[in-house]
Amino acid sequence: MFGLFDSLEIGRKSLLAQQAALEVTGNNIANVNTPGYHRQRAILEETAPMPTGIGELGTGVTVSQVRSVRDQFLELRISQATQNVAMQDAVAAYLRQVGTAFGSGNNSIQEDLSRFFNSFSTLATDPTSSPLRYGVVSAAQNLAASFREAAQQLVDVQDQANAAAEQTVSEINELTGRIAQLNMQIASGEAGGSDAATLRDQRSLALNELAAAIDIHYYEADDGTVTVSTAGGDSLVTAGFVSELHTETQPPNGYVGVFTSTKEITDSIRGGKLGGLLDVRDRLIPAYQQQLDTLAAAVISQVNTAHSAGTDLQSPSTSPAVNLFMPAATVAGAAAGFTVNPDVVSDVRYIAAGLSGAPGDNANALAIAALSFQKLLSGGTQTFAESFAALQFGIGTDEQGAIMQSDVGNAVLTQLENSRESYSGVSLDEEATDLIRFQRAYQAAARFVSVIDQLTEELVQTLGR
Amino acid sequence: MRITITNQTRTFLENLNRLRTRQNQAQTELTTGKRVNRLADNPFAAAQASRITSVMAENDQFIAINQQMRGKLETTDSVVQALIQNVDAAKSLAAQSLSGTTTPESRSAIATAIEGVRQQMLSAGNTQFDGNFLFSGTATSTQPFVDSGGTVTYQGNDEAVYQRLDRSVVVQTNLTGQDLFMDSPPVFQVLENLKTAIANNDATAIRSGLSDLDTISNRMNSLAATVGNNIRLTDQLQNALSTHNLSLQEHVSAMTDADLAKSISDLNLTTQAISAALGAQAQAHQFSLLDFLR
Repeated sequence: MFGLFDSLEIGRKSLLAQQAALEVTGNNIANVNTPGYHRQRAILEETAPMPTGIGELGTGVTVSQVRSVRDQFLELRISQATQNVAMQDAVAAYLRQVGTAFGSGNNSIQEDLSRFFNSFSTLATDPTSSPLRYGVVSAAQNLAASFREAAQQLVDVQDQANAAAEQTVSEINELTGRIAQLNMQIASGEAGGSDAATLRDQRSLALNELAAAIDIHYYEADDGTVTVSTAGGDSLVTAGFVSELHTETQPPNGYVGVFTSTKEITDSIRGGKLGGLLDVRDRLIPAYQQQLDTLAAAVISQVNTAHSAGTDLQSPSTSPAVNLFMPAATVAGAAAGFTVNPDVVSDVRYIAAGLSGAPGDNANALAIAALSFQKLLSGGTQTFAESFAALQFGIGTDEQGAIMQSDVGNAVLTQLENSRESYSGVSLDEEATDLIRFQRAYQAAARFVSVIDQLTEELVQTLGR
Repeated sequence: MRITITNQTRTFLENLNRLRTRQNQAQTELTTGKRVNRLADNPFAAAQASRITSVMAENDQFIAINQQMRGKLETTDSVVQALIQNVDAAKSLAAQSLSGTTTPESRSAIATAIEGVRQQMLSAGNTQFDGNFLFSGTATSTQPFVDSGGTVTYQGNDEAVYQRLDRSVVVQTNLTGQDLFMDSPPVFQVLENLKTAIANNDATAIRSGLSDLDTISNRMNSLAATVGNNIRLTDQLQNALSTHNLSLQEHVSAMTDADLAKSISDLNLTTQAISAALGAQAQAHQFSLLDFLR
């Protein structure tokens, strides 16, 4: 049997449901500019019907749940694109410094190589001249200083990348901690079947930040928690548990390695800001250092060999002559240790311009000057100048590549974010339409209540008299 | 497709950023005059420019060397020309002494004149260039010729001094005192003997001296020709190196210099585009249904 009070009940439910839907709409409008916000929808559902002799009669409406509109697949693709962009951005930012140090506006090594070999060519025009010998010493000192400076700049960038990597690891731990905490809150919040939309928004943001920091994989379990691991497969977050990363200082240069609780994973990190920093620190810069050291060691040893073949101007003259540059013990570190023999600096008569010891003999100065255009590097295919230009080319190509990949990645990311925004973002037109819908429904429900009220009054007034 | 305000503003900002980047690039090109300002702008062009700059520095150095060597060779040449005149003078003096009308007084005067020539040649042999003796081989700080009682000894050595005039050309830039004066027949000895022969009216010895002077004159002329050739070579090389540098400079410019007309038009275009985009964004009020609800 269906009474008037049951009808009043339908009206009440409708008022409540439309009001709840209005609130959801209001909340959507309020968060129209909130980063990470996914629009929410009130899911309206019929309440359980009442069986009667004439069939089922509806009993009204209820808001079964408030659900946020999100596309897990899109979120995953965004986090992957973010990893790539963050990595290339980090590489480009650090290579920019290297590119400036070795750049086209700053050819100090290239120019100093020319000046050094030219100083010997000039000395050959008058091997007895003291000023020209001092010219050789000062050109040699400038060349040595340029190599040391370049080596130092590479180390500086490497140091900065290392410090930033250490910082990033603590950011990662902070983020995984937050994700684990949100996991637990979401699991308990959704245990009753409702959607913990706000917590999910926060977790999406945290996951995106984590993807910008390191390359990760994640998937959502049935209980609403996400399991996060590095792309290399090492667990970071499982439900409420965090596997923190830590850093350890390692020989030979005291840079940090990245460890899970059980093993080192430095080499398996290939994305995110951390991946970019490690790429700069462990792959790119060491390659430049090696090329610079190879060039420095070749200059030192070739010039020393040629110089020793000569005879100096001491009396009595000595042959073989002293080394012009301090010999490099190993190729590694040759640029950083590039120095002129202090004996030569303090006494220019040690410079061996000739082979015979006659003061006008310039044969050795000519031989040293000629080193500048002999192909002595890369298996006899490059001059010193060409070798340095090749190093510049490598640095420029790497930086250009990182910038281009970052541009492409950003375009992809923008497109994905636009898709997400299009799917999950708040459209004011849509919300305004909803406002009208729910406002009108509310007004109608109120009207319905008023009608039932009149009927009830009529019944009470008429029958109760 | 649902388009939200966030979509619209993001697209607007993306496009604006792209325009600003292009505007900035055009501005940098105009202020530096270069299209390649960083290695990453064009790694190939930047590295080529770096390598070519070093070749140009080398060429400039060779140009300077050629200039300096030309100076040294010119000095050498003028000394050798003077020496040839000296030898000619000695020859005509010797011929005079053979004329058959000489008196002991006139022969003595001729001998004195020969001695004058000998002194001039001795002094020429000790010529310095930039504080170094020109004709003492590589012993450039040693005076090459010392005269003690009519016997001249050579203190220098017979070593050639070479100079590289470009990557592939190496030439001898000195004449040693040995080549010029001391090879057989040795100049100073011939003059000394001639002097004695004239004083003694020894016609046979005078004729022999004349013949020696001819030999010496020929030798000096051929050495002078070598020097003259080298002077012309330094001129040619300076021209060739300057031309090479000009073409290298053009090459580098073509690779790295900004095309100013293009940069200016880029700057104008992007500036206009930016102002249009900003104006459109400001005017296009973000209408939504809310604006039309009572």
